[in-house]
Amino acid sequence: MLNELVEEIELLSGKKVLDLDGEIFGESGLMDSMNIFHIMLFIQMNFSVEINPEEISLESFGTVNKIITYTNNKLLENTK
Amino acid sequence: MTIDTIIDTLKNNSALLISYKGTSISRDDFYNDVIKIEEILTKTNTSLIKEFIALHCENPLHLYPLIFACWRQGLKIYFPNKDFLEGTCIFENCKYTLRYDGSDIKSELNTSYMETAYDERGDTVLFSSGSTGKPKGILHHHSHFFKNAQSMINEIGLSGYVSITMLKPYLVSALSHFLVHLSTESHLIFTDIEDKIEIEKYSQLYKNLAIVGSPVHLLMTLNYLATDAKPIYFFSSGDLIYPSVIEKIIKTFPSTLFFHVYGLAELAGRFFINKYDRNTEKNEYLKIGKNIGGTTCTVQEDQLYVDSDFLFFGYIINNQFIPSSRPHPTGDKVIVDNGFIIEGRMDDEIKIGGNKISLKNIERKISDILKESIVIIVPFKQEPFGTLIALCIQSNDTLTKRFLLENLRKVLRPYEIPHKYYQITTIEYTQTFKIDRKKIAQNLSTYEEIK
Repeated sequence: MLNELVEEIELLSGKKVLDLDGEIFGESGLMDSMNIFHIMLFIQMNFSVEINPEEISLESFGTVNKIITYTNNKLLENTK
Repeated sequence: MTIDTIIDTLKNNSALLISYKGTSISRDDFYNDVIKIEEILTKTNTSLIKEFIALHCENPLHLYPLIFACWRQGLKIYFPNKDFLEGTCIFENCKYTLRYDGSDIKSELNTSYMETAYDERGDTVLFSSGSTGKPKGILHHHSHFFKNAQSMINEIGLSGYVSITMLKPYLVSALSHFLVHLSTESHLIFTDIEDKIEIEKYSQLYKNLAIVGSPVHLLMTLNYLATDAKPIYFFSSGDLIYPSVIEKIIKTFPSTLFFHVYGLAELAGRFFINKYDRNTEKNEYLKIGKNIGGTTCTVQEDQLYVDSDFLFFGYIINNQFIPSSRPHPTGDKVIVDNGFIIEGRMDDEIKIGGNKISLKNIERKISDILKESIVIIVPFKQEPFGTLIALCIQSNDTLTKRFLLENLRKVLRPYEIPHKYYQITTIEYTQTFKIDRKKIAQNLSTYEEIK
């Protein structure tokens, strides 16, 4: 999952992901905040995760590690 | 230019006027056909005169003489359209339907006729599905078509050339080209875009042919022309043409003159004309040129408004007559930069995450990268994100998402980057041969996704 996600972010931003806790979106990040839709759609389509509209925020998707945590939690919920 | 002065010039003139499916008629044949139809019409029930009638005829060798005869006899007509000819729609506001097969005229009473109020000055209705998908009639007087054609002739300043067109004869853009040919002693060949053999045959027969069609027609035709063909003119018609298409055509045929002819049914034909040749700067390809004589243009809040003495009288929608406003809002979003650049339709703008985007503008940017491909951007709904956009590509190349993203991010703003990618083999078209975005959006799940 990590490799696929990093690859998608690098592809969209054209930049290398050097820090898994670094900001992905916004001025100090790798890409524009509008690309958050691309990343969320990528997770939804590739990992079969249903994203809750209330959870669309940088709190859940701001860094690579946050996205991985969010996705793993969702997958865990699905298995319960 | 009036209908009677034109008709008078046709008599005893043996020059070819129209060809269609292997049959040609001269200008004199056209004249005789008009006179013959007029004689039949005068013997027909006179109640036809009072009511709008629907013309059920697709063959241009018959349709155009029929239209001319009706106009000269003071009849009020509805142009046919694809749905009407295929029997999937009826024109409720027409009391009669007239069929003409080249020898005889048959009139039929429309049993579901509904009377509608019109502006009394109008005698011709074009029925379009409209860019919004809402069917609408566009009411004109026949003199509008002649005035528009005359303005186009004044602008292009050409005569005596032979054209081949893939436009359906009942479209206003086809009628507009026909009137230009009729008035400039030149020959117009109608063909189907599917008929590769005929296109190749004519391009062999007439080395200096003019090609007339929608941008998609022009692109497809390039593959069908004879290897030694040297078309002298290209006229794009009916839809916005992307600079990459113009570039490709001028590169393939360096001595050609390319006319970007941008039309509007509400103006009875053409609206803007621009000329490009090999010496034209590429950044000029975006400009649609200057408006034809007889029209005035203004821009209000990015929207193009037009006025003219050949502006339509009003719309007929759901059996209601809605008078036109003057100036008329075209629905085209423009940038004014020493000329007009059409950025897209006002209604092709959607919001992605609060940002306004123009679908056609994105297509244009992408087509600059994927030069050999037809690109279409369509919106789709995806929960919980709302509206997102998909890129559909018809291309001979095998494309990957990686290749696309690497290139798209160089020319698109972050919120303009499509969210899904599809390779399509068959493109759906509207009856005016514009890309049918609605149908493509509906069929997204059936296309092959690019990964």
